[in-house]
Amino acid sequence: MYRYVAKRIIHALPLLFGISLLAFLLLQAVPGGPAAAYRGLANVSGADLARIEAELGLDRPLIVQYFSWLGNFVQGDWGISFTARQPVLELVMDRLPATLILMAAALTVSLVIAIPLGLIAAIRRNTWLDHLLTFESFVGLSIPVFWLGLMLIVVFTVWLGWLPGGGIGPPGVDPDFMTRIRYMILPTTALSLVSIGFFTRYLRASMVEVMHKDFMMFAKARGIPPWQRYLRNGFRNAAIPFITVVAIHIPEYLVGALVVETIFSWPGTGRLFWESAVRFDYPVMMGILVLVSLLVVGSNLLADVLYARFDPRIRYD
Amino acid sequence: MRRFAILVALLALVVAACAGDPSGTTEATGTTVEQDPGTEQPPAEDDPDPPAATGGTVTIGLFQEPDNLNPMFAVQTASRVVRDMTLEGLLDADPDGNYVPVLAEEVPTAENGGISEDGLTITYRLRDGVTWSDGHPLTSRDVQFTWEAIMDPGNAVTSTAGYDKIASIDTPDDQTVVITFNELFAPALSLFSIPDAVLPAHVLEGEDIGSSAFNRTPEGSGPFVVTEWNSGDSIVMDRNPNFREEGKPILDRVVFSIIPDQQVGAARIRAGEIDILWNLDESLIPEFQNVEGIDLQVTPSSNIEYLGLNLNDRDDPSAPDALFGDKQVRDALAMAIDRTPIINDLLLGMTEAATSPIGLGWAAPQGLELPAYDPEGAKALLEEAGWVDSDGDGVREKDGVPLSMEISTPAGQQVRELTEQILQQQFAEVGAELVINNVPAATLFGSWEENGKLKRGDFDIVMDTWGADLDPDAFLSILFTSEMIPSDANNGDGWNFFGIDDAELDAAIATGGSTLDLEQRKAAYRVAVERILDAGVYIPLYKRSLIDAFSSRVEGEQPNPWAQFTWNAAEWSVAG
Repeated sequence: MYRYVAKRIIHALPLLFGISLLAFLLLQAVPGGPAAAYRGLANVSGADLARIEAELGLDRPLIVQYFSWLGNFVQGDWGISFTARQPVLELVMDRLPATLILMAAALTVSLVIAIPLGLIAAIRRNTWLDHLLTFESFVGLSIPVFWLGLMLIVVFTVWLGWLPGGGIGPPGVDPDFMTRIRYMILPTTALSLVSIGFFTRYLRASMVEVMHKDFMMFAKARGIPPWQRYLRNGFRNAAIPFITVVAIHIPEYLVGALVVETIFSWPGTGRLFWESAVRFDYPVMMGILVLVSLLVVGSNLLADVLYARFDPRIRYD
Repeated sequence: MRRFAILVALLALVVAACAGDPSGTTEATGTTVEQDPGTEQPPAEDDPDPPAATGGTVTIGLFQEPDNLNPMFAVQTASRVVRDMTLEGLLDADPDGNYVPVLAEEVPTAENGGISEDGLTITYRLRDGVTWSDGHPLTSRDVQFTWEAIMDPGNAVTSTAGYDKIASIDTPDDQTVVITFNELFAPALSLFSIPDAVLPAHVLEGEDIGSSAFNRTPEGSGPFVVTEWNSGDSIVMDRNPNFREEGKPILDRVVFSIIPDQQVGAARIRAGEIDILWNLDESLIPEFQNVEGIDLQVTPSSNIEYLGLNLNDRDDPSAPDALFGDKQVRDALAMAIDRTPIINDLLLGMTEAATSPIGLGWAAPQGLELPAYDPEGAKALLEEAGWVDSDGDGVREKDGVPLSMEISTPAGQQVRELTEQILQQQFAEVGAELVINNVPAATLFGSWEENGKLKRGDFDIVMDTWGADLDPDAFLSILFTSEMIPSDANNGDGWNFFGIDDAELDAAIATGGSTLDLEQRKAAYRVAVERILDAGVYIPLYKRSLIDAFSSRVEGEQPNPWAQFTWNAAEWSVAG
């Protein structure tokens, strides 16, 4: 098992290298560039721009810039943000906890809601209840996150005034636990909704398939009560592919977080990425992109490892 | 199922681990300044000269997170809003546009010996007893170091303009700074002052300034000091315990809350979550007019909304434009514009018509008159110039060329889009067709290499805002001198996209920049402004106002067109 994991990690290295090189070149291909922030300022002349580019090393050939970035990156020096004038690693790590909390909360909420719904839909399949849940899942899957986010703010903050419409807490004071939860409710809801629909649909399908298996019939013949049968025999088997899907789905939350964090002014890496993109802050964007790539590769590896862990038929050595 | 619980438990662990300190917020007491070794402020009753109420917190909504707080690097306006409370210059400008001393004892002049006869040496005497927020004394070395840091090629500063004309800075003693210039630099008094500041040598010396913690949590000499910067969320400033003025600042704390946009800010100030909302869009004014508990502070600014006409042909910049090459056409259009509906209906009377590109301050010429609104006169002028509507379609023609032109402004700005529609009607009345073609700001203001529309002269009329600094030298030079017409020859440098090439104008601007004598400079700039207006390439529309919303619990705010609204935060207090 450890050998397998080690092998997978070694295989991931060229992939990460390729992703980072591609990302670097794509970012540079975008018109504008870091010096764009200074353009249009009356006191910044063309000579100033050339000087700034030279001083930031932006006048070197792209490939030289890339390898100099890579060399520093692997040594833990993620570069300096052009706009914040702070080390990128610090900036990203400052923001990462907020994103992880939001992702973890959204994942937990999605699973807590989607698992019972998926099971009920599968067990009561083709009843009105199943149809209702199916319909709701599709509604969840179809609603754009940015629209949902704005609607949540309009309803719960502007109309009802029940919940804060943005931020991670009241500014300048240390919020207690309940206050933190209040600030988390709307962004978590917006971020979970799509996954709830997706997870429900997937678990239902997986469960429906398992329900037809021989061992389910056997369990029934042994006189095991229905709900015990569904959970112990059915769900445990249906959960194996489901876990894989959940693990692979984790990076999706980062994508969602980009939108959700921007709408709810949540101080996470998603919004940092957006702000950096607007300001052409390449070093910060590269840092976040590599972090996301790591998460994708890591989630896939996690999926495979969990698969082996939960399914006794699978062995990697 | 139990196994599945492992995954959930793992997640719960992550949540628990992160929940510990998600935003980096620290204890509510907020005395987390490293440079502040436990100096708790004395309670209000110990204050020798107690103001109405001391202490309290004011929360400000900023819809732009400052890039950083170091004037060497920062380009965002929000940066000035925040850093002006902590970093100070030698001088500042008062609301009337006069220099006032801050770190300097007095404003250098020829009379007090601060400015040498040839204008090449300026001597500042620093105020006594000024310290940085960490208690370290502020000395002439700090000024000298600031210059060295700006000129250090390793630092990639935004601009070295002016500082590159300094030959040397001498510090005969801790309180005296002698600045010697290579050549005369007329805006010399703005150096180390507006919008720059004096930086602490003892903190930054030997440090990599380009990535220093100073850029987010600077040691300053002003009334407040940054104690926390919670990236993406808030910036907390507490009173500087070592501030030189007894009893100031009055407030204990100012918090900048970073909000996604003005609409959210509007909702939050009405909910009482924030006290001040920065830089409101004109279109939001109605939401605040006559709202109980919220006052609008309207500050006239030096920014002027104007129409810029392109004198040259769009396709061949070396040839004059078929329409605007004709001065009578430019004059007629200026007469066809009625600013009243724009100012009264769109801007709800919160501003006034502009008469000059330099609208405020010592350099603003007084008593200028714009061509009066006179549609009949405009028609007559066009007839005289040979522009006649021969085919009866409502648009005049001359030699087969219709009197039709495009207007461009950055897309997505409501007030400007409505202004364009008003202009469209007014132009139509005199037989000119105005076609609205708005583009993204980046397309309009893009660089020469990016084929920016202004730089490349690919426009007829642009509607834009630009304003002169307190010293208008850079503004006038970059927009109106002939050498600043972007071209291949100068690698697209400069913003004279009008294409105005007038030797007398060039000479007037050069004269204004060749002396430190304010009276001579005023006279030269008056000539320059008159040349610009007479040429009819720059049609001023109205003065842009800076509108900030204040909760009525905040007292002491005062508008200053030359600064951000936080300029006198030391004087603010809160009721109750």
